[in-house]
Amino acid sequence: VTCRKSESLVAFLVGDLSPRESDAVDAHLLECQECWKAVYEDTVGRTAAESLRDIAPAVVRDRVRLSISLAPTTRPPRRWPLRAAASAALVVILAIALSTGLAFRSSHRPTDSLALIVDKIRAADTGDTGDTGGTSVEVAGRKLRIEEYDVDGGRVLVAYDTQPFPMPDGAHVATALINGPWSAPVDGWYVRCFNEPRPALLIGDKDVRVASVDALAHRLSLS
Amino acid sequence: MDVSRPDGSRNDRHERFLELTMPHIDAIWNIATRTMRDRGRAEDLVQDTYLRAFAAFDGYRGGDSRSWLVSICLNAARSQARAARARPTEDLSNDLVDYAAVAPDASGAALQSLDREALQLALDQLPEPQRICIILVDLGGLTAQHAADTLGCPRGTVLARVHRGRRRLAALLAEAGVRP
Repeated sequence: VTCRKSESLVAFLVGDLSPRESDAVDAHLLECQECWKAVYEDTVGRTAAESLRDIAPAVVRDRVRLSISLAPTTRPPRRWPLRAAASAALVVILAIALSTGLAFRSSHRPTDSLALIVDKIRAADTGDTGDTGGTSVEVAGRKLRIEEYDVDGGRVLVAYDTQPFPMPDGAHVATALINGPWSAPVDGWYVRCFNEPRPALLIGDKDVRVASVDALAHRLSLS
Repeated sequence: MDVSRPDGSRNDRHERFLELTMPHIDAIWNIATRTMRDRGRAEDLVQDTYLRAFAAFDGYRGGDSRSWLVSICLNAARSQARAARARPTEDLSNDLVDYAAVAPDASGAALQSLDREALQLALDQLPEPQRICIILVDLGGLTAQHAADTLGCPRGTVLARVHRGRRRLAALLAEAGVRP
């Protein structure tokens, strides 16, 4: 093809030209045999090629479906590391949040509230010793019954409640039991806690080594 | 046909794949038959294409799924039939067709009765670049841009190859006595 206009024929055939350009090619085709022949051949060749289009036979479709249905499922090679990384990050975040929350709850709020309880118990006017039936004091919405004893020359306060006392961070746990006894120093006082048979807190200016409140009572009865 | 697994459980991945790719099986079949020429090998190529595509399904990032399948089909065809094909490289003359005796208006209807065997033979005689472009665009139904993306060449190159290929095809058909 030697006609200079033929350069725009391909664009004309695929509709890439603007309407104005397309009209110009249309007009040119009426007077240029060479370009007209090129367009005609393109049309013939396209029609011929498209006439070879077939529909895939049913046997081929069935064969493909069957082979795919039997094909093993492969795992995504690159998505799993991303998922694993995301999961690990989530676990780390949760762990940090959980540990932060637990630390906050166990080392700050419980300790603070236990220190408050101990302060209130120490400040309570218990009158005479335990034989009087003790006195009551209200701390942070808890109503405690407090008894005071003289043990081995030292002052021991015993506070009873219906709900467990908060265990401070770093407390020494005597047993593996969930509600087992524990002991901890609080503001220079020796504190022992027993949850069985009922929650009780022993506060002394020296450590009174007893296994239970009943053991303390038994020890006092012998003295 | 059901796509149930042998153990009876349905697999979402298999179903998603088939849902995405089965609408293009006609295009793949046409490309396979024109690429392999032998029906049995064409069936093998279609199956191979789908199995390869399924194996690579996790890496599929969207886009034109037909182009994706066609690319896999061409790669599979190349790996199966590389060096098995010899293409004429001479530039065929455009003077083979007696256009003066041909009326453009009659071409469409007359071509309906073309001898498919002669047509396939003519297609096979096209230079490989033109032939593959015609297969992708006219038989596979890809747009020029998708064909260009598949072949890794500019869209204009595809359009030019298709145009030249169609004209040569018309010339070859006229030479073979298959006239519109």
